[in-house]
This record gives sequence, C-alpha cells and structure tokens, in this order.
Amino acid sequence: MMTTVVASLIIASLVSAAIAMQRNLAAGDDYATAKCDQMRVSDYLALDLRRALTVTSGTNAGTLLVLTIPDYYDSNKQPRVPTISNDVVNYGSAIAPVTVLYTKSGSSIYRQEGSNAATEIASNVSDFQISVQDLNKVVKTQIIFAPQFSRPSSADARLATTVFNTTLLRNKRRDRS
Amino acid sequence: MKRLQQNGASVIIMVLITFTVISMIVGVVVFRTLNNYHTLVQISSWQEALLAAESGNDTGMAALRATLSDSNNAWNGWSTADANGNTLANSGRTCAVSNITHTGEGNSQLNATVTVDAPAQLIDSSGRQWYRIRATGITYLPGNTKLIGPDKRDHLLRRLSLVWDRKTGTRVMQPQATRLIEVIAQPVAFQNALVAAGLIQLNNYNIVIDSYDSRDPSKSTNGSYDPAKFQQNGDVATDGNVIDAGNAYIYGDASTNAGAVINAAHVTGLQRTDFYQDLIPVQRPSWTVINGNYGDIVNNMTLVGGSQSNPQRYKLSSVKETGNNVLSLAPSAPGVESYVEIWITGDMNLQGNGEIELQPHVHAKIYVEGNMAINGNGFINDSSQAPYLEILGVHPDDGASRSVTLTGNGSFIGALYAPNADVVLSDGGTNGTYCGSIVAKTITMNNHTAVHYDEALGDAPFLTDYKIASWFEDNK
Repeated sequence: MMTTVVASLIIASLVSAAIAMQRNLAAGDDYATAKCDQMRVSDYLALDLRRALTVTSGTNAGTLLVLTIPDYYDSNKQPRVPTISNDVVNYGSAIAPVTVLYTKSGSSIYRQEGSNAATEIASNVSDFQISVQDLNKVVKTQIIFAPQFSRPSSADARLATTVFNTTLLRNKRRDRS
Repeated sequence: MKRLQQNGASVIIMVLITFTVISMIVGVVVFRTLNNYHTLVQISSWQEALLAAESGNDTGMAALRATLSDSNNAWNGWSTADANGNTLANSGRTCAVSNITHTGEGNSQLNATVTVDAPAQLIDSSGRQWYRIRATGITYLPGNTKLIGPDKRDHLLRRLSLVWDRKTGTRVMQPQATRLIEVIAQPVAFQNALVAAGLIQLNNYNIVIDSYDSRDPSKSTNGSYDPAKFQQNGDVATDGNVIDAGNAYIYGDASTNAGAVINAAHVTGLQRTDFYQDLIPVQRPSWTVINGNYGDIVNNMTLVGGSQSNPQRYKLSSVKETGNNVLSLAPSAPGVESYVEIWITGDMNLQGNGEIELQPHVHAKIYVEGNMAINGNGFINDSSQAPYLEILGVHPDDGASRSVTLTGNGSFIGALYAPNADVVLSDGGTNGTYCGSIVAKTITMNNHTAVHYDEALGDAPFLTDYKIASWFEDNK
C-alpha cells in the first residue's frame, strides 16, 4: 500500500515536472520562434527600406508599408547596367520601379515584390504590432509581440520584446522634392 | 522470492520509462535549442556581411576620391585583372579589403572584395563618367556547420553559401554569408550652399540662405534666382563642430561633424551631425601651354576664350582694378560658347567701379593664389548663371590662410572653392546677394546678405567629390 502511494507521488511529481517543463519549453520555443519571425520581418523591412526610392507607410489596417525599389533585374533575372537621365540613375524604366508591398492578413505577414505572388514572411503573428514612422531620410520601425510565459502577457512583457530599427534610406527619395 | 523479483522488475520498468521520457524531453529541448542557435548565428553573420559589404563600398569611394587629389597613387593595391588573370571589363579595377576581425561568440572575421568599373552607359549628358562599385561582404558561419535553420522563409531572405557559392557556383572553403551591394558614384562639384572646414558664423537674422536651379524653369526664371520659385536645398555644412546660425533663415539642412547648430530657430531642414567632406586642396595649374603671360592687371584689358577642348589660358601676376577699369573676359566670337582659364599668382582686388566682366557665353575658371577682395558689383557675370564662373583658391605652399571678402551692396554670381580661405560676405555693407556656392575654411556672413545656392553647380566641371547616387543590395 505504502509502495503504491509513494510510487504514485513520484509519478505525479514526474508528470507535473514534465508538464511544467513542456509548457516552459513551449513558451520558450514560442518566444524563440516569435523572435525569429520578428527579426525576419525587421530584416526584410530594413533591406527594402535601405534601397527604396519611395516610401508610403500603411494606408489601411491591412497594408503595413508600400515602397518602390530599383528594377535591378532584367527579364533573365540578371543585374542590369543602369543608365543616367537628368542626373538620376535608373535601372530599367525610369518611370516603373518595382513596388514592394507589405501586408498583414489574418495571422500572417506577406511581402509582394512587383507582379510576383505575395510571399508569407511570418505566420502565427496575430499578436504582432508593427509600426512604421516615416522621418523622410530615415524610417523607424518597431515590432512587438506577446510572449506566452504568462497569459495574458503583461504590457511590460510585451514592451520588452520590442525590436526597433532605424534605417537610413540610401537613395534620394523620389517622392520628396 | 517471486514477489520480490516482480517488484524489482516494476522498478526497472518505471526507471526505464522515466529515463526514456526525460531523454525525449531533453532531446527535443536540445534539438530546438540548436535550431534556434543556428538561426541566430546565421542572422548574426548575415547582418555582419552587410557591414563588410559597406566597408568594401567605402574602400571604392575612397579610391575614387583619391583620384581627385593624388591620381598617381589612388589605385595602389588594386588590380585590373580578375583572379584568373582576365582583364576586367569597363576599365574595371578590383581589390580585396584587408580582413577585419573581432572577438566574441559567433563569426569573428569580415572580408570584402570590391570592383570599380566605368560602363559606357554611365556617362552623363555633361560627358562625365560615373562609376559602378560592387562590393561583396563575406562572413563565416561559426563551427563550420552546414546545418541550415529550420524555417525556409529565412533562406529566402538570408541566402547562405553552405557548400557552393550561390553567386559563382564554386565550392566554398567554409560555410559563409555573403551580401552584395552595388552603388553608383556620381562625380559632383558643389553640393551645398555653404561648406566650411571650420566655423560658419551667420551674424544677422536677416540673412537668407536658400536655393534655385538655373536649369529648371520651374525653379528659376531665365536661369536666374526668382524669389517666387525658391527651393529649400540651401544646405549649410561644416567639417567642424559649430554652426552659429544666428537665427538666420536657412532653407535647407544644417550639418556639423558631431557638433551642434546654435541659434537655429529658422533652420527649415534637418540638423545633422554626420557631415564630413574631405576638402580636396586645389593644386597650382600645370599647364603646358599658356596663351598669355601678363604682369599686374590694373587697366582695361580683354582676354578672349577658346573652345571647350582648347580653352585659352592666361597667367597673370595680379588683378587690381579700380576706378572704371574693366578686365573683360570675352567669347571667341559673339554668341559662341567660349572657355577661358586664368591663373592669378597674386591677389585679385576689385575696388570702386573697377571690375571683371564675364561676358555672355563665356565660361571662366580662375585660379587665385593670393587674397581676394571684391567690392560691390566688382565681378559681373553677364550670363547670370553661376556655373559659368568658378573661382578656385590655390592651396598655398606654406599652408597659411588666405582671405576672401565680398563687400558692399552688390551681387556675385559664381562658385567659390577655396578650402584655405577665410570668407567674409557683406563685411561693411548692408545688403549683398550671392548666387552660387561657397567652399572655404571659415565663412562669416553679416547684415542682410543672401546666399542662393544654384543646384546646377552640382554638375559643374570642377569636381570636388564623388557621391553615392544609387544604392542597391542584390539579394537574389
């Protein structure tokens, strides 16, 4: 009888510990995954902003950012040699740079370059808050998510996940005089 | 005895089950942790590769800038052939940037290779060659791992070369992250309204600095400044750390080199702290042909220009025009675009009604070794376009400062590049207008002076620098 009780207690402890570890692992894994998603979105935004010609921050709830970049690749996906017109460097057509669109739909964030199909760059990110601040020569972005170590996550816990990115636009903007 | 054996077996089974469960948990933890670790070090290496590539571009820009001051040695260490000994196209040159190392976890080494070339497509309408700089930054994935992160979306963004170089297809010695940046370097002349190596001091709130573009009818009228069409690119910048804006109206940015802009109530643009421009000294001309060699010019005189490919060159000891005496710079024939270059080994002094007249259609480049004093309307630019007149202050052998003063209430239309000169505008007058651009050692402005920067000077023939006109990261 005693053996059964002791064994039950040990098993219960082990199970509890396993569940706690599993939940901790899940929360930690979720945090790491969210962090990777956050970094990926931030890096994509920074990559495109650095080479952007025009920038328009979100115009509606679904659109996060619209920008244009030089049409660097020809139809064979090879880099073009640019041309100069009125002291402006143009890759391909001067009036048709490539539009890059960032949208949030459902729990995913998509990036669409030109006429290519939109590509999902982050999923399960319904808790992501992305803000874009256009300061002319620099654009600031910040991305926040909700960690799962406690539910609901506190405001401080959310704030602690913030990744700020201040990107200097390398090209002279064409949407400003 | 049998009962004891059964109990023992139960304990062993329990231990095995427990061990198995714990091992599985540990295995999952280690697996996930390793995946995250790989992802993080790949992110880190990829980020560093950008820094390496930017270093490569900086190296290319530095070499181009060196051609302006020391063309004989600018390309030391560069090769005109690729690794296989083939001559690079478009007069290209390449070099490998010295390894940059640092301590710490993860990647600790940054490499870069850079190529500078001059495609024919990059010659502008003024006949100036622009340059293409392509730099590849390389960093390494620590631990020689060929494991890739688990999320395929990362691979679309951060393209790694684990076994094969993703650009060249050749085998890589070590897994690496590479990033390629292409910039186009534009030869430029005067990019700002005012640039000084040291202090810029504006002593009156009535001072106005703005811009116009003599090439653009929407930004000028008949090529001249029109207050109704003023632009806000009248940038003011110093390599020093102080601009005293004096509450003047600066329609543009005010930039220092890690310094401050004080009394900046009316600066409409940004106040930046990241400015630095290497003010390349003007060397004494080394002409092989001189069309006229004269002493001190104190009376009426006319110097005639030549063609653009064969400008007429004159060497003068000094110019000191007073009274109603005029030194005229005339075209080779009426209405013909003409070019004249003048080398003044002494001072240029225009007082009273004495003047230099730059007649229509004449482009003048004037080298001055001494001091300059221009009173009132002492320098008349009949074309009213700043790019037609460039005054260059020659770097003195002894390194001493020169002085440039524009006094009285007149106007001056042209560009002044004198990195060794202390420039004073409207000293003693009450009103003065300067259309063009000034580069000097220090700049002081008084009274009701206005500087209208002509944006067309960015394309002036005298190159002062190269700037990045286009930047693109090739992420395919």
